[in-house]
Amino acid sequence: MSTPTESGEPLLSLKNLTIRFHTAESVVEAVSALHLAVRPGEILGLVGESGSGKSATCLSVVGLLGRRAEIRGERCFRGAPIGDGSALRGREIGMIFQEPRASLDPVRTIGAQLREVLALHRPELGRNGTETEAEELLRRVGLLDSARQLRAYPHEMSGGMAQRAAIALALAGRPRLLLADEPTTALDVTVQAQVLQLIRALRDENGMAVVLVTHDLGIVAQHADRVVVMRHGKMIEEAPVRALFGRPRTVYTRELLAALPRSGAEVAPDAPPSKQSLLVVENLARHFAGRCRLFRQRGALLRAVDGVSFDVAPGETLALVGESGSGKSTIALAVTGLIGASAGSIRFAGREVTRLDPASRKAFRREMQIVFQDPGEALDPRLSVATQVEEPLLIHRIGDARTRSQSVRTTLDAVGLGDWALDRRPHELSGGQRQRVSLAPALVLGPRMLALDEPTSALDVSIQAQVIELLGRLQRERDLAYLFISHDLRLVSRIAHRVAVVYLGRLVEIAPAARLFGTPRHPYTQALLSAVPEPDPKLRDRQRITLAGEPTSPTAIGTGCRFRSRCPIARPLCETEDPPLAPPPDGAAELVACHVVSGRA
Amino acid sequence: MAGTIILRKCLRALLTLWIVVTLTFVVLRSAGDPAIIILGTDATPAMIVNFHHEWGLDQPLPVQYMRYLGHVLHGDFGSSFLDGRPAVTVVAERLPYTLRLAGLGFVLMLLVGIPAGIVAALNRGRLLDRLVVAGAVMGHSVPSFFLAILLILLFSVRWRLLPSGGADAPDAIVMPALTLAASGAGIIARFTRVAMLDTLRQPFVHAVQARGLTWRRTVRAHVMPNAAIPTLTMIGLLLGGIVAGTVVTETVFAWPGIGRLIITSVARRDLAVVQCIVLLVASTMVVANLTVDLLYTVLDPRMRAPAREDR
Repeated sequence: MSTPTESGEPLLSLKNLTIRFHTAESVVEAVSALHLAVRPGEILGLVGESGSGKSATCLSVVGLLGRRAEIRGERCFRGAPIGDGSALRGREIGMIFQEPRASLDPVRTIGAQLREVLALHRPELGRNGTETEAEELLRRVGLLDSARQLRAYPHEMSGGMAQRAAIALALAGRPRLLLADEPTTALDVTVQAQVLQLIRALRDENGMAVVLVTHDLGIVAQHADRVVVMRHGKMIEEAPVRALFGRPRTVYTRELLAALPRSGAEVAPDAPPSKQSLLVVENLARHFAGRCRLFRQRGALLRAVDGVSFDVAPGETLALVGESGSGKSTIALAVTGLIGASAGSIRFAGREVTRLDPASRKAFRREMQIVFQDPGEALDPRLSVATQVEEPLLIHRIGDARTRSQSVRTTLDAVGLGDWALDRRPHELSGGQRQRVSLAPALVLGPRMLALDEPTSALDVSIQAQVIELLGRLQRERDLAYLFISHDLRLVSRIAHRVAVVYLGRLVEIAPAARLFGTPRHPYTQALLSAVPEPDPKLRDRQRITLAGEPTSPTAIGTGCRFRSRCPIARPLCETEDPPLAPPPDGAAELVACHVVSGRA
Repeated sequence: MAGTIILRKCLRALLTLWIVVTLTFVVLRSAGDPAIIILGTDATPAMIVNFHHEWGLDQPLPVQYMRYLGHVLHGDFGSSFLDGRPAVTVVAERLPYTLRLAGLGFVLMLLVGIPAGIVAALNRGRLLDRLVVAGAVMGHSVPSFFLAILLILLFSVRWRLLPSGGADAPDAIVMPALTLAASGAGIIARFTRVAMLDTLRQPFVHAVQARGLTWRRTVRAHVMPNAAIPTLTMIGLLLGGIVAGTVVTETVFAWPGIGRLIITSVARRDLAVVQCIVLLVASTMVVANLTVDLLYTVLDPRMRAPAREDR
C-alpha cells in the first residue's frame, strides 16, 4: 500500500474556515474556524455525525453552498486562492455524492452526460476522441460493457453502477482531488466494498488525492490515510489513521469508537432459555405481479419472498439480515399482517395469522406491532406526541380517558422520555427522540412481539447505540420478542440472539448470533461479513472476499441456487438444483442452504 | 414495444370518445322534446308527430342510438333541426373562428406563462418572483367574463382602441385572445415555477455544477428539460379544455365561434349540432391527452418501454 508523502505543499488548504447560513429567522454556524490541509495523493477521512459540518466544508471548496451561505477564512488550492470555486470544478476537483442515481440527470444517457463534461474540460479530444475516452472512462470505473452503458439512462442502472458512472463523470476532467461525500452510504455493504476499493485503486493509479466524507468510522479505518474528526463544525481531532484508532486523544473520538458495534467482538446477549415459539413462519411466500393495467399483459412475477421458514421465541431477538431487495421488509409486513401472504403459514401464539376474521385480526395486532425505519415519516407531523401514543388505545377501545393518559405517560417513561414530550410535535424533537416516540405507540398496547424494520438506520451512531440499549432493556423487562430487520451486520451483532441471512427472498443461513459471526458457513454470509468495514485499521490487509456484481433482479430468478452467479465456490450442481435449508453435515444447530457446505457438491 | 404502447393509447382514446358519444346521446334525449322547442308550444299534435317521424324520434331509443352511432362512424352527424343543413357544415362554418382564437390564446399562454415561471424560479424570493406570483394569481383568479368586461370598458369604451366585439376587424381578436389566455398563463407560470424549484432542489443539480458546468448551462441543459415533464401535464390539461373555455369569451365578445354556437344550439335543442360540438370538444381533450402522453415518452426516458432485465 502506498503511503502518501508526509511533507510537501498541500493540495488544498483551508485556514480559519467559517461557514454561516443566514435564514430569515436565524444565523447558523455550520463550520467554525476550521484548519484543514489535503496533501497530494492522500486519502483524508473526514468523519462526523450529521450536522458536524463535513459536507458544508466540501461544498465550500467548490463554491456550491448557495447564496444563503457566508464563507470566511482562507481557502487555497495549490497555493492559489479558490475564489468562487467555479474554475476548479470538474477540472481540478471532482466530486461525488451520496445518492448516486440522484446525482445523475435522469433524462439524459450516461454517454450524453460524459460527452458534455469531456467537451467542456478536454475539447482537444475532438469528436471521435471524446467517444473513445468516454468508453475508456467507464471501463476504468469497472463498467465493463461500456459501449452499452453509454446508452443507458440512470434509472436503468443499479445503485452501484450509478455510483461508478458518477465517479467516471468526476474523473473526466482528470482532477487532482476527489471530494467523495458519503459515496457509499446509500449502497449495500458488498457494493460499498467494491466502490471503495475502486476509489482507492484510482488514487493508487493516478496519485489523485481523495477527501472521503463519511459518518462511518469503519470506512475510515479501512480506507483513509489520515483522519479528521469533526463535531458541531469544529475539528475535534486529526491524526494518521492508525494513531487515531490506536490512541484516540479526545473524549469525543473515544465515545464514537465505543458506540460503534464491532461484529464478532461483541458477544451477543445470552440466548433466552428456549421456550415454546411465539411466532412460527413456514414456507412463507409473497409474490407481486408486474403492473397489470387495462390492455396490458401481466408483467414479470416478482418473487419478493419465496419460501421462508423461521420461528421466534418470547424474549428472543431474531435478526433478518440482507441487502436491499432481499425481501426482508416484505417478510416483516407479511408477518405483521399488513400485507397478505401468497403462500405458506404464519402462526402467532398458536393461531394462523394468514386467515383471520376482522375481530381476531384486531386482537392479533395488539400483540404484534411494527416499528418503521424513518421516525420522521412514520409519525404524523401535525399531531402531538400524546395524541399519537394514545391513538392505538382508542382504536382498541382500551380504558377511559384517565387510564389512557396514565398509560401514555408510563409508556413515554419506558422509552426514556418525560412528560415534557407530551405536547411536542415530531419536528420539535431530535432524531433519537423521534425514534423513541415512534416506539411508544407500538408499546402502549403491551404487545408480545415487535417487528423492527431498520429502526436505527436513520440515526447517528451514538444515538443508534442508545436506541439499541433501550430495546434491550424493554425486551428484558417485558419479555418481548423481536424480529429485527437490518442491513447493518455490526449493529445486529449487538442485539440479536439468532441471525437469519436473506438473499433474494430466501434464507441462506440461520444460526445463533455468536456462531454466525464467528464461523459463517454460507459463502454469502462470509462475503457479507468480510465486506463490513471494521473500525480497526489493523484489519486493513486481511484477506477479503469480494463479491462481483450485484444481486440478480427478483423478477429474473432462474433455476438452481439464487446466489450462484456471484458465488466464489459455485459448482455445476448449483446451476440446476435449488439448495434446501438444512443442517450442515457436522450436525450443528444452524441451518445452511448451500450444496457445497453440505457436501452435496 | 413502443409501437404497441402507442396503439394501446390510441385504442383507449377511441374508447373514451365512444363513451362521450353515448353519454351525450342519452343526456340530450332525456332533456326535453325538441319538437316543442322548435315548433313552439302552439304546435298541433299532428305537427309534432310529423316532426318526430321526419327526424326518427318516434323510433325506440336503442334503435335511434344504433342508427346515430352508425351515421357517426360514417362521418354523418345528422342535420340541424333548425334549417336542415348537415350539422357538420354548421359547425365547420364556425370552427375556423374558434381555432384562430383558441390557437392564439394557447400560444399566448405558453409565451407568457413558461418564461414567467422560469424567471420567477431562478429569482426565488426576490421582487421579480413575487411580482410574477402575484400576477399569476390574479391571472387565474379573475373570472374571464369580468376581465372581458374590464378590457371592453378600457380599450373600447374609454380609449376606443379596439372593437368591442365581432370578428370583422383584424384587431378584433386581441381582447378575446387575451381574456382566454390570462387564466391559463397564470396557471402555467405557477406550475413552471414550482417544477423548476423542485428540479433545482434535486441533488443532480449540484452534481452537474460540481462537474464544471456553468450555471447557465446547468439550467438550460439539465434543469429545464427535467422541469418540463410536470409542466407538460398541466399544459395538456389546459390545451384539452381550451375549446370548452371559449364559451364565455366568445359570448362576451360576440365572437362567431363554436363556443357561442353551442349555447344557441342547446337553447334550441338542436340535438345534432350539440352532439357534434360535444364530440369535437371531447376530441380536443382526448387528442391533447394523447399528445401529452406521446410527448412524455420523448421527454422522460423513464416513461419508455421498461428496461431490459438482463443485468
